[in-house]
Amino acid sequence: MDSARIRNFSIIAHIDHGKSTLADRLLERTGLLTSREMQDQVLDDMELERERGITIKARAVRLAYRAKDGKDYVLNLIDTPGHVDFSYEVSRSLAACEGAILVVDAAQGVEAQTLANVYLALDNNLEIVPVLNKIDLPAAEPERVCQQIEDVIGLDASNAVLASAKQGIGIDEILERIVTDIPPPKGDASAPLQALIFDSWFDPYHGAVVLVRVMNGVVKKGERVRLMAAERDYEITRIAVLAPGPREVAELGPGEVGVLMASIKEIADAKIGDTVTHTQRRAAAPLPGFKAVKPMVFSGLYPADTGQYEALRTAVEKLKLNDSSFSYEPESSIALGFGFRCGFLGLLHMEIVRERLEREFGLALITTAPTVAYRVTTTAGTTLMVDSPAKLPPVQTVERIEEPIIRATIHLPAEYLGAILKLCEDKRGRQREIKYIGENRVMLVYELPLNEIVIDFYDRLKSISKGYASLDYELEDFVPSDLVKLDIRINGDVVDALSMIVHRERAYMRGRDLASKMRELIPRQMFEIVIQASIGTKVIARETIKAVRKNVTAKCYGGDISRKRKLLEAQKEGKKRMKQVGRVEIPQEAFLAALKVEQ
Amino acid sequence: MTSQAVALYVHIPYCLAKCPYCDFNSYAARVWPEDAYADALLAELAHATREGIFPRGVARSIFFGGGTPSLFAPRTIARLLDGAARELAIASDVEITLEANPGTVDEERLAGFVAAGVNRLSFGIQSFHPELLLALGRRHSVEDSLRALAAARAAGVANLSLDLIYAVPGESLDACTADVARAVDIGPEHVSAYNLTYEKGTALFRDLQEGRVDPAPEELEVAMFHLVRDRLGAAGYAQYEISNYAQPGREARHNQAYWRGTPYLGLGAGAHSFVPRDGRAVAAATSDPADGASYGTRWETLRDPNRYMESIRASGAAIASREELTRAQAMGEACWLGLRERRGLDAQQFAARFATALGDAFPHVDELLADGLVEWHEPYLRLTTQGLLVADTVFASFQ
Repeated sequence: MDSARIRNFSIIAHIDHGKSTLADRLLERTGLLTSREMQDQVLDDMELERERGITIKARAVRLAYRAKDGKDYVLNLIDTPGHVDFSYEVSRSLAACEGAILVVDAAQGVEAQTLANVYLALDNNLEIVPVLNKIDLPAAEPERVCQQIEDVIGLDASNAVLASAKQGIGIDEILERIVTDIPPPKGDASAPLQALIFDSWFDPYHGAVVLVRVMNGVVKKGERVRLMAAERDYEITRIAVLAPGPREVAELGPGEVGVLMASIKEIADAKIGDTVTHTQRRAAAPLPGFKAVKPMVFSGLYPADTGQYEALRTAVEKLKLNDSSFSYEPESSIALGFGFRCGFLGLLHMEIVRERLEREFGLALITTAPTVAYRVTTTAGTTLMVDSPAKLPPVQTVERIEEPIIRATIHLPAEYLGAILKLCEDKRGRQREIKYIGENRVMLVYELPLNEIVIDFYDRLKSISKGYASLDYELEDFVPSDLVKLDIRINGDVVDALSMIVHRERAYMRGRDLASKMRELIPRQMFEIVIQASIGTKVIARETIKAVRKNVTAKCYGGDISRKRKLLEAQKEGKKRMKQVGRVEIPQEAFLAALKVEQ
Repeated sequence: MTSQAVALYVHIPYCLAKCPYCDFNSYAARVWPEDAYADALLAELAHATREGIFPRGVARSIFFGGGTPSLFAPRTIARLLDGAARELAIASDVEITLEANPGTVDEERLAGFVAAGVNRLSFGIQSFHPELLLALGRRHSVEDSLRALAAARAAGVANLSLDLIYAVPGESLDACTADVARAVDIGPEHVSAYNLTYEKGTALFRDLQEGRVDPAPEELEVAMFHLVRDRLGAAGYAQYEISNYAQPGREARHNQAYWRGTPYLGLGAGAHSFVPRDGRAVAAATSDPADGASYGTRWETLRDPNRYMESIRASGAAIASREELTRAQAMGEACWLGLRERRGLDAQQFAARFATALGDAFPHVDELLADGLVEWHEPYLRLTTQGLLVADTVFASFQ
C-alpha cells in the first residue's frame, strides 16, 4: 500500500470529553458500522472500561475514507489508555502515530489528564489537530477554550475544529483535517523489517496476539520473524487488520497497522514496545523507546472466603495470560490464610485487577496495604528484594534498606505551585528542576520515594490542582533510607496482613491513625481488645475496645422464635466473613482501612 | 386424643392505644368485632385439630395474649374456653392466663374472667413511676395499677403476675430499685422484668434513630439487671428465665412450653404455631433424615385481623407463612431456647430428640465451658451469671 495514503492518529481527550462518541462518529461516517449495529461505545469493549470511562488497553481501528481530493485513504485510529499507571503503554501507542486529535470540551476546557498525553504526543513529534467538542452546549465558550489551549499547552488553536460528536457536527471536517494536517508515515519498504508492538493480548486459539505498526519493511504471512527484546523467533500464521473486526490480509507494509498471529505462547514474550523484525534479515537496531515493564506496587490478594483459594488461583492465572505487567506468587498470612502476593504498575492498575477478579470471576477479595519493592542488604552481605513486609529479615540481620526513588515530572498551572511544592516536600521529595513554560505553566521535576507516591500522591495532586496538574514518573534509583516495619498487634498478636514498611518519621502518625481506624472498625467482642501499633517491640500507639457487657434479648416467646433464629443465623453469616486473629474477629473493612489511612 | 402435652395461645390483637415500644401484632381500636373474631378463633381451632394440622393432645396451658385481651368480655373468654375444651383435652391442673391492662379492668370484670376459667392474670404494670409510664407512652396511672392488682386479689385470682420494664430513658438506678420494691410489696406470685428493647418498626425505635430519646447507658443496664435479679431473688422470686421470676412452683408453664419445644397452637391474627418432630418420627417418615427432612413445622397466620377473619371464614385457616425446620435449625433452636431457662438445656432430652449427644452436635460447648459462659448442672447445661448478660452471643454460636 502506498504509505502516502495512510494516516495514523490517536485521540487525546479527558474522560467525558467525548472521545468514545467521536470515535463512534468517525467509524459511522466512514461506513464501518451503521448506528443500529453499533454498540454505544465500540472502543471501550470491556465492561469495566465502560464503567470507569477509561480504556485500559490500546486498540486500533482501520477506517476507509475517500477525501475531498477524490483519493481513498486508510485512517488508522489508535486508541490509548489514559492514566499515569499506563503512561508507557500510551507512549508506545503514540509512537505508532504521526498525529493526534486533541479533543477538548468546549465548556469545561483543558483538563489534567489531557495534558499528560498531549506532552507525550508532543514528545513523539505528533501533529496535533485541536477539536472543540460539545459546541452545541449552551455553556460552550469556544473562544475562551481556544485561548486556554494556547496559554496552557502552547498550541495554536486558531484553526480548531468546532464539533459536536453527539450531534454529528464537524465530523467531516475532522476527517479532512486528518488527511490534510497529519503527515503520511515515512518508511522504507525495502529496508529490513521494523514493526512496533503497541498492544498485545491473549487469544485462546491463537496464543498471544500482537498489534503492530510497521515502520520499515514488509511483513508477510508464513515468514519467520524475531521479537527483538524477547529474543524469540516465530512463524507468522496470520495477518489481519481490524475494521473493526479482524480482516485477514497477506502483508503489512510501511505505515500500516495490523495484528500478527504467530502462536506466541506467553503474553510475556509479546512485550509492548518490542520490535518485530525478520529472523533472517534482521534490522540493525530495534526501534527506540522499549522498556521492560515491571510491577512497581505490590500487595496481597486473599479470598475473603478461604474456600475460594483455588478459584482465585485459576483467576490470577487467567488474568496473567492477558496482562504481562501483572505478576503473582503464592503467599500465606496468619490472619488471611492462603493468597497471592501480586505486582502491579500502580494503584489504579491494582484496583482494576482487583475489580476484574471480583467481577469476572465472582470472587470476594481482601487486599492488603500496597507496598513497593525495597532492596535489603543483610549483615551477611547478601542483597534481596523485599516486596512484602513479611519478607523483611529480622531487624538485627539488616545492614541497610534502600528504597526506590522515582523521577517525577509534574506539569501544573502556576497558581497551584505553592501547594504542590508543599505536597512534594511532605512526601519527602527532593527538587531537581523547576521551569516556567509560557506564562502560566510550570514544570517540576522531583525525586520522590516511590512508596510515598503509591499511597495517595496522584489523588492529592489532582485534588490540589483541581485536576490540572499532570504526573509522569520513572524509576530512577535505590537509595538508603531509614525504614522500619510497622506492626499492628491485636491482643498481643501481630496481624501480619496489616504490617507495613514505612519511613521512621512517618511511622508514628501512620501507627496512630491505623490503630484508631481499627478501633472504629473492629466490633466489640466478649473481651477487651487492645490494639497496638509497634516498631519491633516498641509500642507507639495504643487503643482499646471495651468488652461487650450486655447482649441479651429480653423477650423470647412463641412468636419471637423464628425471627430471633433468623437474626442469629444472619449474625453467623456475618461472622463467616470476619477473619480471626487469635480470638479476635476482624471484619474485612479493617484490612481495607490500611489502604486508606491518610498520611 | 393423645396424652401429649400441648399449649394453646389465643391472640387478641386489639388495644385502646398502641404503646410506642410495642412490636406485637396489635391495633388501636375504639370498637372491635368481638363475636366475629371469637367465631374465627374457634373455627381456626376446630380446623387445626380436625385436619390433623395440630395434635389433639392435652392442653396444660392456655394463654390469652395481645393486644389487650382484657378488653374482651368475660362471656367471650368463657365461650373460647368452652370451645377449647371441645377440641382438646384440658389438663386438670391447666394454667389459664389472661393478659390485662390496669386501666381496662375492675373487680367485677376480673371476677367474670375467673368465673370463665381464667386462673392466672398477667398485668402490664411496667413501672410505678408516673414519669416513666409517660416515657413508655402508657395510658394507665400508678393508681390504676394499684387498684387493678387489689381488684384481682379481691376477685379471687390466686396466681398473679406483673410485668416491669427497666432501663427506660431517664430511669435512674434508684427508680428501678423503687419499682422492684413496690412490686415485691404487692406480692404477686410471678414477675416478668424486661430490659426495654428498641424494636425495629416501633415509634420508640424511630425516636432512638432520630436522637429524640437518650437510651440508658450499657453500664446502667447491667447494674439494673443485677439489681432486679438480686432484689427479687432476696424476696423469694427465683429467676427461672432471663427476664422471668417466680415464687416456687409459680413459673409460667405456658412460657416454658415455648422454651422446651412443646407443640403450641397459636390462634388469632399473626399468631405463631409450632409442631416439633423428633428424630424417631423423622426416621419413620423418611429414609434420609439428615438431609432436608423436617424436624418441625412453624407457621404464622395473617397479621391483619380482618384479613385473618376473612380467610378463616373462607377456608378454616389463615396461614401467612410456614417453615420447615432443618435438623441443624431445630437443634440450634432447642439449645438456645433451653439455655434461656435458668435450669438450662436438658441434654438428655436433646439426645433423645435428635439421637445425637449435645457435645457431638456442638463441640464448641467445650469452649463455652472453658470461657465460663456455661456450666454443667447434670443433666442440664446452663448459662453462668457471666453468660447470662451476653446470652445472645452464646446463642449465636449454636445457630
